[in-house]
Amino acid sequence: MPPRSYYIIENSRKRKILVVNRLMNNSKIQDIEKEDFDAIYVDVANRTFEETRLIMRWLSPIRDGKCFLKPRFGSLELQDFMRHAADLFDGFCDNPMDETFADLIEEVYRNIDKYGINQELTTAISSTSKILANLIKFDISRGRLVFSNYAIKGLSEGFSSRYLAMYDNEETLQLNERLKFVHKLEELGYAERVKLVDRIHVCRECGDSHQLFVECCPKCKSSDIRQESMIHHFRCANVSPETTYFKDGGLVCPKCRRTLRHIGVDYDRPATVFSCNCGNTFLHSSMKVTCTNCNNQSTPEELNSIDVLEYKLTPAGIKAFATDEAIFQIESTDIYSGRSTFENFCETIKVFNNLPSYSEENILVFRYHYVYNGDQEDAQVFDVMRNIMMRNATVKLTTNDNNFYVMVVAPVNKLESEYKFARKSLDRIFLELSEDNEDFDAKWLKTYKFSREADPEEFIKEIQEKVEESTLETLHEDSAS
Amino acid sequence: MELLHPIIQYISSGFTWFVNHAMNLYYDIEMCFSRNVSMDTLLTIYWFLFLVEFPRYYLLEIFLSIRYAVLKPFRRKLDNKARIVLYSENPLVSILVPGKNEGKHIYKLIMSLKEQTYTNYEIIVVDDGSDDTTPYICSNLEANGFIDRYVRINDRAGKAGAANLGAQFARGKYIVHLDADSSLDRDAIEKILLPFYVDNKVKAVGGCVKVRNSKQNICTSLQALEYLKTIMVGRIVTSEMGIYHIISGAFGAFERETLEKIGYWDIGPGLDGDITQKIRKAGYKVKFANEAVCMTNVPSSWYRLYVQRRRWSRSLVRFRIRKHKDILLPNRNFRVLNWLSNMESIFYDCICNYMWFYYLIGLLFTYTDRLLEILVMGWLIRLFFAFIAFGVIMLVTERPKEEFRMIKYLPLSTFYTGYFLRVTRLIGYTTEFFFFNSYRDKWNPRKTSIWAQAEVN
Repeated sequence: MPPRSYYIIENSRKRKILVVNRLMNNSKIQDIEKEDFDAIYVDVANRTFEETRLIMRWLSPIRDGKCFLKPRFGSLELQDFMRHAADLFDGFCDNPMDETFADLIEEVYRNIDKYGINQELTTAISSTSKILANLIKFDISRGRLVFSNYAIKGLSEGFSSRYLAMYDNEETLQLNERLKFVHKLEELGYAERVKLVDRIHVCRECGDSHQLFVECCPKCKSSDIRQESMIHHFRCANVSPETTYFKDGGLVCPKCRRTLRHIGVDYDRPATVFSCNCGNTFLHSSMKVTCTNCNNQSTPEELNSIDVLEYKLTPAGIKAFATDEAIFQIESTDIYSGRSTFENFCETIKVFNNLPSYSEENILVFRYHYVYNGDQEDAQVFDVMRNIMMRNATVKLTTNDNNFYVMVVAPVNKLESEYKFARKSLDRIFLELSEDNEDFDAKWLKTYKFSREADPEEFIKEIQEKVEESTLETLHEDSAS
Repeated sequence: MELLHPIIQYISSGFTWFVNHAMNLYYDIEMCFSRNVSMDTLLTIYWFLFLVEFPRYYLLEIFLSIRYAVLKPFRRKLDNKARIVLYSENPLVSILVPGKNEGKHIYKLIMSLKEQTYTNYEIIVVDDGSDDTTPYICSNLEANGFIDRYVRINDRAGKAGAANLGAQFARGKYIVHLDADSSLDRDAIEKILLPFYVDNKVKAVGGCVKVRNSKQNICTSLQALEYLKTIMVGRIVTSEMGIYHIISGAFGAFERETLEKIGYWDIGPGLDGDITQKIRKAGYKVKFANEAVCMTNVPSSWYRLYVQRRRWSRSLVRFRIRKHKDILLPNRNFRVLNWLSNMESIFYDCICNYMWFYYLIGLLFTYTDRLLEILVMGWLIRLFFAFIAFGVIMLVTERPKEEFRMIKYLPLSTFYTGYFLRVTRLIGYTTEFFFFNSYRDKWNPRKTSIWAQAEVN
């Protein structure tokens, strides 16, 4: 019998601590209940990266109902591993009986009592708002009422308050979703701005902050350019590139043949000049920007600038989040994109007519049918969704009965162009995926349009109806034509 | 009636008194003229005017200007042919604008360039270490595509250095050198390029510089008149004779290849005259394009005018007498026209100025008692000549209507050209001869003038 992957001990203040030392799926173990432990100590050493990451996901303080909000410490070895996500641990110590750990446990429970935090996971329609709301509750329980942003390596948004990618294996929190969320908080008076942290520039196509800045020739845009300084010989006023002065290892003026000896006395370098392979010479090189995510080429001026702000929760905000009131207020007035369950997807359609900010817009639902013959269906579906989310930040998507549903909200007057753009992009994604994986194949079935006058119940019925096989066209033929 | 009598007497006696005095004045004037006007006395008193100034500045100019005016239709024909060649070749022209703290003038200049009939040009602005808003203005203009290249020198290099740096970026077949505070006629670029296509030995062409702020005050008005006479008429004459020796820094066109051969500009002040000499020495022809008009601002205060002219005079000594003295000496590169061109400038501008000084001193001592009448008489004679010269200006100018209004300044111009400019030049030449002042001129940064100085010590 393998050694137990966990055990529960009691510390000096009579708090029960769950000590985890192996990969476990806590939520599936029936014999531990939420009430069985007050805090978690993760003692994982010499594990593989993947294994440790899985442990972290399962013990996530914002995803798992049993572990939600519970104080947690990690062994010292974990500290390096957690890196940017170290905030999700309250601290690191070498054994679970540590006194600082004990102090912290008490403080967290004091905060939970003080603010009256509901210890259940908040449920929400969209994954983004769910994570953010739980994260805010987690922060309140730790007495952190200001949420600032830090530059984080590897994160496509560049800045984040938490490095959640580590836990979720995807960048669930799209930048514009997050912005929408905090703006809503501000609007509802739940949070107020403290200061501007930084103004960052992101790709105007995909919103990614990972941009390559390359110096290049203003004329031909090649980056094969050389820099050379100009030499001004005072005596004869000759000004020409440095190379024209090179002679026998010294500097000799090409005009008057005198030797240059001392900078500042008989010559200086008034300017530096770039020359390009195309024959162009120039003083100031241009800058071109390539997005590492979507390969879009632009100039620095064309990038979108985004304000990264620091916010502080107001007393009203603290109360609203503690009692889970906030999330209803936030979600009832807006559509949040991202992955969601089919029920939530339908819920959004139902409330759409009541959202005043969408009075000039329609919903487009793209339906793709997929066939998968492999044995890891969840992973495959997940992969598809991640691909779609990475390239189309503003869509809402779900699966139901071997169908992918992708929701795009488009202004009435731009319906046609939005349809074409989204269709092209989705077709490409599905085509690429089915080419990569033999077991996977997907076909476009139908696109539905939902306008404000239509009945949502009928529309939901319509999108679930079976489509005749004969009307199907395969993606391959479609893209070929 | 009895009361009226003395009043009538008073009036009549007053009238008699007035007539008597008027007659006396007339007799005096008549005496004066009858004593002086004989050819003999005139020549002895005004020998300088009749023997030195008249043949060169009036006789020669009248003759050549009339010839110029008569040959106009013929020249027009050549120009038309040249224009066809020019436009069929359509060479790129690099317009080079070096200067310090000239940001405020650049936009106006660009607007006048945008109006040009000849459109295939690039604009290169060289900022020679400006310490005002010039960098911002020019960078902005460059970013918005008004100028093709903005070159900035952080540590001032001097006008020659700035022009040479700008020339490095020029890609055109021709380089047009412009002062930032000038602006051009609509067809000026086209007109300045034509001489290159009339005669392919011509490698540099000077434009006609006129005064833009001529209505500002009397000082600038007199300069406007002077520019018409010395720059427009004077250069037409020297150009016709083939001894044209100075392409104005404000507006001149050069073939880029030729500039490269002669090593571009050397240290000034007076680098425009110097580069013209260099081109002549290299065996190329230099022409003056009367109809390529450039307007520029001239100094509006007498002191600044004095400083400017003193600098110009110094460069004559520095370049024509010192640096390019080999033109005057018999050597392998000797050319009669070059010799004449240099000699003309040295003799009439420099030597004659000293002769005039000697003449003035002589006059003071010989005719001490009659000085006033001699000066008045001299002024009258000069005024008469000035009217003739004005006629010549009207004959050759391409905008006689606008310039006719200058006629009212003729009575004053004698004092300006005859005394003010002569004294200024005298001071300039003398200080340069003995003290080498031009090598220390603030016009150049210290780091370069120190080398110019080293050259003569």
